Amino acid sequence: MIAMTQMAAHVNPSSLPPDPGQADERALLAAVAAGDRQAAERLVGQTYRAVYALLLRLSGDADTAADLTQESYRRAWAGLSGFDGRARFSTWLYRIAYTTFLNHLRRPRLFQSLDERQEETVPDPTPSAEESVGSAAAGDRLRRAVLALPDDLRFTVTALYWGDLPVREVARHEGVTTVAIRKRLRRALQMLALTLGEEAR
Amino acid sequence: MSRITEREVARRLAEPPQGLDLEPPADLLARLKADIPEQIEIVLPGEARPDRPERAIPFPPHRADVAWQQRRRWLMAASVVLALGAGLFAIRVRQATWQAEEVPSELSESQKTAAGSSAAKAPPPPPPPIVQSEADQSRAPGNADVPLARPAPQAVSPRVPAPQSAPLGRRAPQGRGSNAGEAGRAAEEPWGELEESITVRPELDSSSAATTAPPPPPPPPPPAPRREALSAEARRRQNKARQEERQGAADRGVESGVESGVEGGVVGGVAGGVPGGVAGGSPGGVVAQAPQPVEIPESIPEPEPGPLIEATEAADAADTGLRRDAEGASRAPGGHPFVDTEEDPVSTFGLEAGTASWAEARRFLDNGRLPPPEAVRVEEVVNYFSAGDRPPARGDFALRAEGAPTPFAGEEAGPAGDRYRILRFGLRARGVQDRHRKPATSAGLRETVARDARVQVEFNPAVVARYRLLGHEGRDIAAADRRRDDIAAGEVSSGHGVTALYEVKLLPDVRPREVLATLRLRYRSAETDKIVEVDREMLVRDLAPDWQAAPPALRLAAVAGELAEILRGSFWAKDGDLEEVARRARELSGVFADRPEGERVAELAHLAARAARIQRERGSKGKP
Repeated sequence: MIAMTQMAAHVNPSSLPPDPGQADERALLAAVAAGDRQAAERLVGQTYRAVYALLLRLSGDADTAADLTQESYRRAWAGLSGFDGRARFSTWLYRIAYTTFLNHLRRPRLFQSLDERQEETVPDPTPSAEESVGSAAAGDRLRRAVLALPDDLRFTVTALYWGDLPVREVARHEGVTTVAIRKRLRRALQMLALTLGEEAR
Repeated sequence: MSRITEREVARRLAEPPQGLDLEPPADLLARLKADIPEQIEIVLPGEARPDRPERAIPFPPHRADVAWQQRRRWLMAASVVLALGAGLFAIRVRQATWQAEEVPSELSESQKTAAGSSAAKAPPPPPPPIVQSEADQSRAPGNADVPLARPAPQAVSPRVPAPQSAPLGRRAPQGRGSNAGEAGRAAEEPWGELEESITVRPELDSSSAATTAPPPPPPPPPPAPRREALSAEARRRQNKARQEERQGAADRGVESGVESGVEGGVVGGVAGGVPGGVAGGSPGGVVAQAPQPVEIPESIPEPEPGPLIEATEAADAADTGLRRDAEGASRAPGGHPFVDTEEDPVSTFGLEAGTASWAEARRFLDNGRLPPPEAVRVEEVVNYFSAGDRPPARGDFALRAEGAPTPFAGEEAGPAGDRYRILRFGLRARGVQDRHRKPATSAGLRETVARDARVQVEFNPAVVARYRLLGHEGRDIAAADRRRDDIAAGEVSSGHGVTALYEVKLLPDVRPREVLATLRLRYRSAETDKIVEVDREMLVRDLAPDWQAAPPALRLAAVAGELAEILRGSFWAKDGDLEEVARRARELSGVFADRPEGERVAELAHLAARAARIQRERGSKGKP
């Protein structure tokens, strides 16, 4: 997955071979539409590991990730009529999982205005004294720094690195060019480098 | 001190997390399978999507296109003038040659000939009135691009006065400019002086026109705009008796409105063109061009009393539906009353809508209490949850109009409840980045797109029986003040968008191609400093057939509006059910799950459910 992610972030999408998974997704969706429950189960089986992994990396907690995975699928089933096929099903599912996670973040305070959310609900990336040692703490700092990014950059970084999505898919979903996604990624990496560098001082 | 490179960050992002096992729990798959519902609603990509009809109304032609079309018409007219002038000049030269050859005794005869040539310079007599068939009338409003009643550019008379009561851009049938245009300036123009602009719609003054349009038809008939002719036609279908009583006015409307619409707009505007404008124009066209306010004869019977009218009276007994005081009754939490379209077909709403009201309501709900009714402003809640309309592909503004049957029509709607529709009008200014510009500075991020901007919705009385604006209480403009330039004119920044909701009741048996409403925006462009007017016609056929087929943005706005009206204690939502609102909000959270608005829609669903629970626990129904 790591190798694929790195490739996805740096390879020209136009040179990517046709995605065999998309045809498979469409066939499964057609079967689901026809009422085939087993097809729906296969769809879940094909996608839930990636969804769980994403939510685990976002939340940093296995139980939370499992619960959010369940909630994401519930929302996906309810919203499947809104799936327009613009992006792949897995991309669409990724966005739902991502939104579910953001909603989860805001749940303790319920809902503030979007303007005040950014600083109040995103965890402070500065490490505590206990967290300053060990690789787990380093991973947690990275996670917090990613969550502190502006929304468009945060979505881009997590989609490309943790959601395992190709640049082309993210661009299609966001309605922008692949060049714009790469620019976002670069800005995000710059900001992360700055944040993590300051922490390390 | 260490420095972390971007490459190092990328490496850390890509490596597996330390201390976290990416393998899902063993029972997760079983839990997920158990959650699969029995029935899954799905529309396969590529198939027709009944819930996403492409009902976007095309954006009006770009100003450059309009300018070219008008310039082309002007050039055609100028060509005709030149051809006629050249012909006349040739005749005179020839006559002069003949005179030189004739004996002096025939001089008087040549003078007669010269007089005859002068007569030849006069415009040809106006063509006989063309009576439009009913079918034509019904088609006309449906075709926004047909220059049927669109006035010609002001090439001949740049500024012409308009009657004081003419509403914004009322598309009265008009001919080409005439000498009447020289009779006055735009001092009485309802929206102030018009700069010559490609979208300016000159209105002709009937009194000044009468001085140049012999013979003036006695007595001056009350000219009716095109819509009035249509409304008369539709009323004929509904009520024969009423039609009889209005026959006189309707006939005048048809004669002066529709016929001159053809004559003035097509014959006078294109073929007659400049000759008509220079040499006197067409009498029929000129007389009929001045739009006048709709005058309802006293003999017209009151609309048959029904549950809705009673409800209206109950909602605001002191309010006649039209002459309401902006400082008075409409400030009450009860909401706007329904307005009879025949009495006042034009409505306005503010271009600014904050979202502070929702933040306040949310705070109360978070604390387990329903917000006080006066703290809830419906328009602010609607705009907080507005799904972003796309910025315009061209021009300064994108206008959007959507409509669908409302699922929230209260019991007061009675058996006619199926004729209620919820309409959403959206305006979106272009963003700074929507055009190629200099790099945006911090000051440039909030560039001003338009000044003196104002918006109007005109409902077609032949289609809409009555309407009401959701929210905006205390912010509406008194009818008399709507045309004043110093009232409620606002600035619109780049990227600004606003949504307004109307609930309307349709007349029975309306035809799909009839115009339902026209959204108009008039502003002074920040770029060119010219006054620009854009409009968007919404046809009956643009309405979604049912709620599920309605555009998601409309459904979201309607649900948010219903929630706000219930919380505000609006009279029109007194039968509103918060459980129903919560259920529909939950549906929408699925529809919007993968969209940028998804988080807010989830918030709406969550808080609507919370409000329903609070209400249920209180054991009170209907009012918070």
